[in-house]
Amino acid sequence: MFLNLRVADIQARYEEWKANLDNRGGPADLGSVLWLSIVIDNACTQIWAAWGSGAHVTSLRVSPAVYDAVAAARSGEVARDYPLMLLGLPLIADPRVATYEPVAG
Amino acid sequence: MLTPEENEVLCRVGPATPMGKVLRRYWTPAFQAGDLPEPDCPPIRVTVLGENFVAFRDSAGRLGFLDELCCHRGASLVLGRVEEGGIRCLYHGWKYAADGTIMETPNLATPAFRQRVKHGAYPVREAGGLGWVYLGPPGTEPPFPAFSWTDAAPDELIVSEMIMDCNWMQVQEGSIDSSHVAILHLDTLATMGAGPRNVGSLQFAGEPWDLDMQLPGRRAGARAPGGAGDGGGARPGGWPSDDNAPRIEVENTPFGFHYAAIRDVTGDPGKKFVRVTAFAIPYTAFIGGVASGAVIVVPRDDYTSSSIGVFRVPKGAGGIAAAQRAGGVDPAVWGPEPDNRRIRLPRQDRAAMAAGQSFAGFRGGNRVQDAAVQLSEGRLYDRAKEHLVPADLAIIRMRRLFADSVASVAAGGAPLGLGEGCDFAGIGAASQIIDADRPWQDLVPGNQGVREPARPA
Repeated sequence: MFLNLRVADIQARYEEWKANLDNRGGPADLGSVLWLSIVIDNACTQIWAAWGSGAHVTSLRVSPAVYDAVAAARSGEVARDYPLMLLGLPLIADPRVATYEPVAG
Repeated sequence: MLTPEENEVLCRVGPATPMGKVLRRYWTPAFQAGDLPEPDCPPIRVTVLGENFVAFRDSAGRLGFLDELCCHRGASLVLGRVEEGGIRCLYHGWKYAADGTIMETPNLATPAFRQRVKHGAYPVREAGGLGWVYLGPPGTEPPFPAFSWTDAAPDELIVSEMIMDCNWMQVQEGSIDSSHVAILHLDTLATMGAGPRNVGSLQFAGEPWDLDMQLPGRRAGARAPGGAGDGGGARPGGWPSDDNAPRIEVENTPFGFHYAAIRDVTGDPGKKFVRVTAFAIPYTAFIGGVASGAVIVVPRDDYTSSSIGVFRVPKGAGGIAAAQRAGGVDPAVWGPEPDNRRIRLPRQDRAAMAAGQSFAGFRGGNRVQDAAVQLSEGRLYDRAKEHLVPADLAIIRMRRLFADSVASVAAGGAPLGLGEGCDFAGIGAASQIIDADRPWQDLVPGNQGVREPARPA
């Protein structure tokens, strides 16, 4: 006796299963992740160092990619016309700054 | 803040996720050894890192940690019988040894299958009142983190586990966050006799409103402000500073990092009040003011976590009975028994808050107050919405080390802090008043700090 399963049904079931898996937090494309964890750690370390030497920090310069990532994540604040801020400092997009090398100014 | 994508990467823990792959490379404290008190006792279900397992203690007292479902037809082995050196599935009688060997297959007479196939089994060891498992690729186990309390006998340990219905990172971030201590836990400070304190424009005198609560680092019901739990030099009242914006200094270490929250000492400019917290990646925090123990946060799944306090106490003073006697642990809120570990927040006492008796309004001490705010962030907090400040540097550093570990593992390398050559037993915390020019690292020489600024980008 042979079962008569249609390939299309199996494929549809697989796609549904795969979508559910992805929704549960399946593999992410790490290459597309912009690691604000690294940007912020580097920036915060600079800020404490600056404060430790008595400097007054007034702003944070970041690469346009970081600026855009923060803006996208904070779309609500952007829509309300709030200035973008990170670590309590105004954020300035500066194309001379590399992605993971913010500059506390 | 994190981008939404980064938040997902750092918070999800299932086997196919980047962070799940990282966490599986460490020894994970998955269950309380006391839940399997004797050979052939009933097995327990353990959910950890988004997967379900069965843990049991065989006739010889050996721990077994296996995939939960029988590899024949998928019945749960948690229902099974633990007998004669293994665990037997109720459904068709398949029997498994602690190492996953398939001992018997009553409905399959030929031995070829059980000779060639093993059930999913994982390295497991008992230490510090906990069952630690290794869920990573076979043969890649790192050195076991033999902390100072992991060799203690059961009657020298108090283990208290609180299960919380939120993502583990919310809990872990709270465990290493020093700047909330003198604010959220004002009721604790009032009970310790710290006196009036300011939170912004609010002056809070408080009352010993939560008198029966557990004070950090002390045994139930004890009221010994300024004692060992607070470190030598702390004045009676336990909190010698009005400084709510501590300076934060972080150093990476072989096991993760440690940091100092440095506060001015009220009325004594020649001194500083230092709280040193050490974080052993990925689960364990040694917290200043909490003597002889640690706080361990373990993800059960993406939306459930266990916060486990392990405290070493004098011989004979530990065990489950001691945990049950703990002051401030209201069994209607949570308790040490296996079926009562999931916290159900008590009603916030707004009347006590309005009357100036209580700041937070939650009875039950620091852990209940912590749970209230961490659960309030939701099941999995979207960190795109947060506004970190420099005082959050410890949290920022922890995320950084996890991000570095994710990248390393994805590239075929190892995560950070596996501890090759590390003396885990030397890791410690401190809470002490010291001379203003004395390095805080002197208080915790076993942490092997590098005394350098955090590593560069």
